[in-house]
Amino acid sequence: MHLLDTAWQFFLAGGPVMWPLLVLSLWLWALMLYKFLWVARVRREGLELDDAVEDLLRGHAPPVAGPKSAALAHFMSLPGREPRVDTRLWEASVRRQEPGLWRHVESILVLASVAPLLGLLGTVSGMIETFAVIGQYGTGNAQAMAGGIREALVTTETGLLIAIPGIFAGWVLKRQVRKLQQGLLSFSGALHNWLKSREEAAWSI
Amino acid sequence: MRRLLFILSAALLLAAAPALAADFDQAAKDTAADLATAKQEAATAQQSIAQEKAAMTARLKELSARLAAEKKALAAAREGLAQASREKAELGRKLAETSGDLKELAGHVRAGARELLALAERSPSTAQSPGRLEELRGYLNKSRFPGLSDISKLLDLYFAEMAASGQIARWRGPLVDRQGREVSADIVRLGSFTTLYKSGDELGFATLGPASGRLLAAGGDPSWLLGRDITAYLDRQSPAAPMDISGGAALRQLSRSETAWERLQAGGPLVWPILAVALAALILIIERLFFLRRVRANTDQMMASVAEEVAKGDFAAALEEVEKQPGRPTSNVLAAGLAHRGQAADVIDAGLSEAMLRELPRLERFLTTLKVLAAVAPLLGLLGTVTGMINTFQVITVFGAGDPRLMAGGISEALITTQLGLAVAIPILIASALLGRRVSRLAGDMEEKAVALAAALIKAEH
Repeated sequence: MHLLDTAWQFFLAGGPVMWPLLVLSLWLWALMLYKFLWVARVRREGLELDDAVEDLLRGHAPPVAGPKSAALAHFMSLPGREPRVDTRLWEASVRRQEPGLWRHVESILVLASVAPLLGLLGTVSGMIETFAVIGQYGTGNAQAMAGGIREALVTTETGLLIAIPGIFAGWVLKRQVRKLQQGLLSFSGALHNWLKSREEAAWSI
Repeated sequence: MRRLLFILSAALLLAAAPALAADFDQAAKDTAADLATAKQEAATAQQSIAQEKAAMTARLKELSARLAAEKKALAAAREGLAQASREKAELGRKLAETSGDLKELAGHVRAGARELLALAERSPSTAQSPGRLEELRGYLNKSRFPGLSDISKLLDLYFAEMAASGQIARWRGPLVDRQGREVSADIVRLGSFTTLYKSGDELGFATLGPASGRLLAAGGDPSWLLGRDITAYLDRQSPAAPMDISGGAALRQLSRSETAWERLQAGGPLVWPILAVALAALILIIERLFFLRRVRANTDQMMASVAEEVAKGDFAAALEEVEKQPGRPTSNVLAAGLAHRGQAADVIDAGLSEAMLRELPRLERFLTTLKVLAAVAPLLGLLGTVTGMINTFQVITVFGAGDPRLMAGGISEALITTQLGLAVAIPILIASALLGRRVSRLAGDMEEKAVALAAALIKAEH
C-alpha cells in the first residue's frame, strides 16, 4: 500500500506527460509479454521433414504449433493441389507465415524508441514551467521552481525506464524471430526439394 | 571737628590776650568761662562722640553679626542647591529611563500593528470589516502615541483576525469581478485561506486588494473541474471545497496559467512551420488510413473462388470474381495474372512480379514523407529554441544578467517550440510505424496470392 502510494506520488510529480507514458508502457509490456510467450511456445515446435512428408502422404494435417506446421496445414488445406504446382503453392503457404512471425517486433522497437522522446517532452515541459516560474518570481521561490524540475527529471527517468527493457526485449525478440524464420526457411527449402522431385516426376509422365 | 574749633578759638584767645590787657581779667574770666564752657562743651561733645562711637560700634557689631549670619545662610543655600541639582540629575536619569521604556512600548505596538496590517491586507476577512485597514494605518503614524485604549484595541483586532481565520463565513457583498466591474456577489470565506464567490454565471476565487481592502476576483478562469467543485460547495451539495492553503501562491499560479493558444503564440515564428508539419502529417495519416482501409479485404475468400474458377477453366468468371473488389492491390495483381493465362510459367511469374511492382508504390506512398515529417518536427522545434535563445541573450547583452527573470522568461518561451516539435513528432512516429506494418502485411498478402494464382494458372494450362 505504501509502495503504491509512493508510486502514485511519483506518477503525479511527472505531470500530464505521465499519462501517455503509462499507456505506452502498458502497451509495450503487453506486446512484449505476448511475443515472448509466443516465441517460447513456437520454439518448442519440432516438426521435422520426415514427419511433414509422412503427414503429406497420409493426408493428415499436423496440429498447428508454429509457423512450420501452420504453413503445412494451410498448404494441405488448399484446394486443387497436385504435384505439378505444389512447389508454388507451398511457397505461397510459407510466405503466408511471414507477417505472423514478425508481428509486434517492429511495434515493440518503435514504442521503445518513442518512450524516451515522450520523457524528453516531459522534461521540456518541466523546464518551461521552471523558467516561467523564474520569470515570474525570480530565483527566490525555490519551491515553485522545484516542481518544474521534478517534473522534468521524473519524466525523463520514466521514459528511460520504459525504453531500456523495451529496446533490449525488442532486439532479443528480433534475433529469436530471425532464428525461427531461418528454421522455417530451411524447412520450407527441404520440403520444396521433395515436392520438386515429385513435380518433375509428374511432368515427365 | 568741634575739637578743632575749640583749639582754634583757644589759640585766638591766647593770641588776643596781650592786646586786650585791660580787659585781661575780664577777659581771663570770660576766657576761663569760655574755657569752662568749651571744656564742658568739649566734654559734652566727647560724650556724645563716645556715645555715637558706641552706637556705631554696636551697629558695626550688629552688622558683622548679620553678615556672618547671612554668610552662613548662603552656604546653607549653596548646599541646598547642590543637593537639588543632584536630585535633578537623578530625576532626569529616571525620566529618560521611563520614557525609553515608553518609546520601546510604542515601537512594539507599532510593529504589532504593522504585522497585523500586513496580515489584514491579505486576509479576506478584511472585506467584512473594511475600516480595519485605516485604523491599523493610523497606528503607524509616528507622532501619535498609542495609549492604553489603543493597545487594547489592537489586541482586539488581533483576536478578531484569529477568530476569523477559523470561521467559514457566507455573505453577500460587493466584489470587483474579472471584468473590473463592481458587482454584488455571493461570497464564502474559508478561514483566511480562500474566498469563493459566485456572481451570475461567473464564479471563482477572490483575493483581497491590499490597498483598497476590497475583494477582487482572481484572474484566470478556474478549470471546468474546479468550477464544478466550487458550484457544488456553494450550493451546499458537497462538503469539500477547493482551497488555496499556500497563502495566495496557488491562486497567482492559476491566474498565470495561460491558454494553449497564448502559449503557442509566445513560442515565436517557428511555431507555424511546426503546426504546418503537424497539419500535413495529419492529412497524410488520414489519407493513408482511408486508403488502407479501403484496400483491405478478405482476399482469402476471393482467392479460393478465383482458384476454383481457374481450375474449371472459366477465366471470365474468375475475372468477374476479381472485379468484385476493384481497385485493391491484390485484385489488380490477380487481374494482371489472369491476363497472362495460357502462357509459359516464366511469363506468368514475370507478369505477376511486374504487377506487384506496380502496386507497391501505391501502398507505400507517403510513408517516407511521414517519416521525414516526424524527423523534421523536432528539428524545427530545436531551431525555434535556438532562435529564442539568441533573442534572450541579445536582451542580456543590453540589460545585463542582473535580473534572472528577464532571462528565464525568454528561455521558457524559447523552449515552447521544442516541446511542440516533440509533441508533433511522437504521434507521427507511432502512426507511421503502424501504417508501415499494415502496408507490409498487405504487400505480403499480395505476393502470396500472386504465387497461388500462378500455381492455379499453370495447373489449369496443363
